[in-house]
Amino acid sequence: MSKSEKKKVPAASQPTTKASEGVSRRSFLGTSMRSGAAVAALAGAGVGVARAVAEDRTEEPIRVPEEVPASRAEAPRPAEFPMNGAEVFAKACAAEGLAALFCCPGNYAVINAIAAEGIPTYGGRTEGSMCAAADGFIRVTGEIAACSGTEGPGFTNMIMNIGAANAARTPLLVLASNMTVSGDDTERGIQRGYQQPLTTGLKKWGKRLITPNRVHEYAAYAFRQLRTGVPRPVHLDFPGEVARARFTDAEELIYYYDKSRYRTHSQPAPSPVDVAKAVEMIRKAQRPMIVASTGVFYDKAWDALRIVAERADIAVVESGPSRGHFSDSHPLSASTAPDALLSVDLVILIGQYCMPTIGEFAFDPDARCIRIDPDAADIGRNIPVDLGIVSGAGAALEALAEALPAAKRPAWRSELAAARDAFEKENEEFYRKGLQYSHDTDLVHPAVIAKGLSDVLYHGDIPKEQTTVVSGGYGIGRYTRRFLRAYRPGQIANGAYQYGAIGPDVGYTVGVGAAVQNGIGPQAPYRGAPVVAVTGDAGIAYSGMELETLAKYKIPAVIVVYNNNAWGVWQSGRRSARSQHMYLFQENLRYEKIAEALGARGEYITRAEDFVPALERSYQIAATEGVTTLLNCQAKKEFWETNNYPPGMPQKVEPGCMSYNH
Amino acid sequence: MTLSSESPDSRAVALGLQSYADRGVFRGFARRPALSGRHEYRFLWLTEGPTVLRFDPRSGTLTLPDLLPNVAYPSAMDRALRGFLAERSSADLPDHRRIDPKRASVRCVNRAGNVTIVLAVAKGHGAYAVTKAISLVNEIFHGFLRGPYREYMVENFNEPEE
Amino acid sequence: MPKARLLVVLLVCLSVASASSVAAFEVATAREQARELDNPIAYTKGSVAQGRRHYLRLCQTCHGADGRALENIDFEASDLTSPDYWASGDTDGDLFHSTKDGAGTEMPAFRDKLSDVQIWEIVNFIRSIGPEDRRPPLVEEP
Repeated sequence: MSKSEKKKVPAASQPTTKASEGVSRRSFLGTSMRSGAAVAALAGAGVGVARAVAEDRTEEPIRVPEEVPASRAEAPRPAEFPMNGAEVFAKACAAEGLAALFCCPGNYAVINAIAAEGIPTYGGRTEGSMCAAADGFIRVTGEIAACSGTEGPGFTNMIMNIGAANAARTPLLVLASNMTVSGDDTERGIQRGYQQPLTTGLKKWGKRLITPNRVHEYAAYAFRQLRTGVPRPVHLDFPGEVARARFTDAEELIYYYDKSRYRTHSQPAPSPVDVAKAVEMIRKAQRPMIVASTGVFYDKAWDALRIVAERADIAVVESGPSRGHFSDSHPLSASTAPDALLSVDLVILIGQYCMPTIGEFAFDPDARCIRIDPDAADIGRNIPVDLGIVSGAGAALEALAEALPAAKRPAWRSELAAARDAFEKENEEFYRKGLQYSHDTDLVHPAVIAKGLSDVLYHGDIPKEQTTVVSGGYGIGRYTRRFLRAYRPGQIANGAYQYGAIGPDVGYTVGVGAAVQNGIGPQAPYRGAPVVAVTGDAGIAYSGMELETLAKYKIPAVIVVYNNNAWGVWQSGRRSARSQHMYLFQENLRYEKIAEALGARGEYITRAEDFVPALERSYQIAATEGVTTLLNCQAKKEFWETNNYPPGMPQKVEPGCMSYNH
Repeated sequence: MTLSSESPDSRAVALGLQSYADRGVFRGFARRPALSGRHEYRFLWLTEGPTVLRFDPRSGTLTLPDLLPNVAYPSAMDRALRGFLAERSSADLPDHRRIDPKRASVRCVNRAGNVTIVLAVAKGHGAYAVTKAISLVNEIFHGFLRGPYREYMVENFNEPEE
Repeated sequence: MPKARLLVVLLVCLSVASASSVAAFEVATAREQARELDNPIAYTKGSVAQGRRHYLRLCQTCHGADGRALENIDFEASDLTSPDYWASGDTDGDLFHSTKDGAGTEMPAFRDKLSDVQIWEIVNFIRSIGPEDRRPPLVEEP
C-alpha cells in the first residue's frame, strides 16, 4: 500500500523529552551520563563520533528493536469510562474473547484500543497478508480473530484474502478505518472510498458505522453474525466520528449490555423424526461414508464424530479449509482412500458449507445422500438430497451418537484399508519416479519434497500429531497434499481452499504460527512447536515479506518454497504465439537470500538428498531458537510435463486429502 | 412406441436412466425417438456437453458413443483405457464394483480417435447393465482420467487449469 | 590510544552530552514557564477570525478543518475541541508553547512560520471551537 510520507519534523525544534515529563536535575544528570557513556563507548572503539555512524551501518546486525518485546510485555490497560468509540468496541471484542488481531498500522484508535485490552496483536508488512494471517489463525483454532487495515489502499489490499476467507467460510472480523462521514463524496484529503460495496459477495454481514452511540450495538451485530449459523467474514468500517467519539458513561451508548443478552448460545438441532430416518438409512447401507467438513471443525464436534463413526462402522472422509477433525490413522478414515469413494452407497454430508456440484465429488451416482446443515435454504442446492436435516453439525452428531445402533461392517473396513494401501502404493511410485527424475536432472522433484515432509513430520522423531502445516502452493500442493497427514483437529490448514488464491501462504503461516506459539484451542498440546508451510515461487511473491513478521515475533516456522522458475500453469503459454514469456520467471532465483535479509534463515536445496537433512536441521533450529527458515528447493518447470515426466502434475480426487475445491 | 410396448430390457434401461434424472443426478435428460429400433438418451452430467447413451434391444448393446474424444490410436492412453476396462470384470474387485461378465461385458472402440464404450447386455439384465454403465462412466472420469491425463482433461473437457 | 588523545575525546564527549541535556532542561523549563502565560490578544471575533485563517493555512492538515483531527491518516493528532485530552497541557500558555516550540514527537514548531501575535490568535480560535465553559468572555471590538 502507499501512504503519504510522515511529516518531517525540523530536528532542531524537536524536544528530546516527552511533553508530559518535566526535566528534573536528577533526570538531567542521568541523561548526560547516558549520552556521555554512549559516545565514550564509540570513542573507545577508536573511531570518531561523526565517522562511526557512516562506517558501521553495513555491519549492523538485523535486530528486533527493544520496543517490540517491551510493548508486548506491558500490562494491559483495559479502558474504563470515559471511553472513545474505539475503546467501547475493543471492550466488546475482549468480552467476546476475540483471540487475536493481525494488522498493519492504520485504524489507529481501534487497533491501539484492542491491544490495550490485552488481546494479542500482530503488526505485519501488508494488510493483505495480515488478513490471511487472521484467516489461517481461525482455520486451525476455531476461534474468532480480526484483521485491520487503514482506509483506502490499506483496506483494498485485503480484498483478495477477504475473498479467500469468504470462500472458506471463515468467521473473520474485518476492520478498517474509513475517513469521516462529514467528508463523504468530497475526496477531501486522501484515501477516501466506499468500503462496504467492495465486500459485497465477500462477506456475511457488514456495516459502515455512522452513529457513534451505536458502536456497541454494532459490535453485538458483528459477533452475532460471526458466532451463529454458517460463518463468513464480517466487515466493519470506522469513520473518525465513531472511533474518536467520546462517551462519559454507559448512558450515552445505545444497546450497551452483556453478550448473554444480545445473542444466544442455542444452536439448531435435528428433529427426532429426521434422526430416525437417518438412522434407518444408515442401517440399510452397506458402505456408508460421512463427509466431515467445515461445520464439524467449528462446532468442535470431532469427539462426537468419532463416536458415530465407530458405533456403526461408518467411514469418514474430510473436506474443508482445515483437516484433522478425523484422524488419518483411524481405520475408518477415507481421506487417503480415494478409490473407496466410488463404492459408497450412502453419503452423509455434515457441515459441508461449500457445496460441490454433481460430479465434483467422486461418489457413485447410485449413492444416496443425507445432508446435515444449519441453513435450511441451502439444503438441496447443487446436489439433490434424499434426506435433508436442518441442524448444526455438533448437535446432529450428538443426536446420532445417541440413536444409532451398533453395527459392524468388516467388508467395508477391509475395502477402506485396501484403498488406503493402493493410494500409498501410488505415492511410493510417484516418489520412486521423482527420485529418478531428480537424479537425472540434478534438481529436486516435488515428489521428493512431499515424501521428505512425510518422513520427517510423521515417521521420524517428531510426534506425528505435533506439527501444524500450512498446505499451500499450486503444483507442489498436488504432490504434498497426497503425503501430508492430519491426526488431530487443526493440524492442516488447506491453503488454496475454494478461492484458489495462490500467495497468502506465508500470511497464513503468521497466523497459524501465532496460534501454535500461544497454544490456542486444539493447538494447546503443541504450544511452541514449529509450523511448516509449503508454497511455490509464484506464491512467495505475494506474502514473502511476512518472513520479517515471523522473525520479528520469533514465530518458529519452516517454509518450503518449490522453485520451478515459472507459474504452475506455464504450459498454457505454449499454446499461443508470443505468450510464453508471461508465464516464466528468471531461473535459479535465490529466495532464501530474501529470507536472510529479513532476519530469517535460508537454505538453497538443489539435490534430492539434501532436502531431508535441511528440513530436519531447520525444524530443529526453529524449535530451539525460534528462528524461521526458508528452504528454496530448485526444480524446473518441465516436471509438470506429463509426457516427459509422468505423472506430471497429478490430478486430485474429492473429497479427501487431495482436495481444495470443496 | 411407448414404454409398455418395448422389450423388458428397453424398459429397464429407460426407467433406470429416468431414475437418475428424477433423483437429480442428471441436470437434464431427454429421450430421443427410436431410430431403427435403437433408443437414444441424452443427459447432462459430468461434462459440459451432453452424454449420449444408446440402447439397441436387438443386439443387446448399450453404447456411449464418442465418450472420450481425441484418444490417439495406438497410444499409451488407449492401451491403458482398454486395460482399465478389462479390469472392471476382475474377480479381484468387490461385487459392487465389478461388472459381472455373465450379465454384461464391456469393451471400447476407437474410431479416428473417438472412443466409444460398448456394453454387451445379457438378456433380461437391462436394469443391471444401465446401472453398471453409469457407474462405469463415473469410474472413468473419477478414476481412470484422474491419472496422468491432466492436459487431456484441460484440452478436451475444459477442466480448469487451477 | 594515547592518553592525551583519549582525554580530549572524553572531554568532547562530555561537552556534547552536557549540551544536549542542557537543551532538554531549557526546553522543559520554558514549558513550565509558558504554562502561566496569559493571552495578550483579546478574545474578540476579529482575533478568532484571524486565528482561523492562520489555522486553516497551517494546522488543518493534521488537526482537521473542525479541529477534531478525524482525518489524519499519519498519526493521531490532538482533538482540539477536547481540552481534557490534550497531552501537553490545556492552558493558553500551553497552547502557545506547543504551537511555537512543538510538542511530543509529532507536533512541529511553528516559530519560524508564525509570529507570536499570530500564534495567540490561533489560541483564541482554538478556544472558540472548544467547550463553551472553557472559552474566555467575548470582548467587543474597539
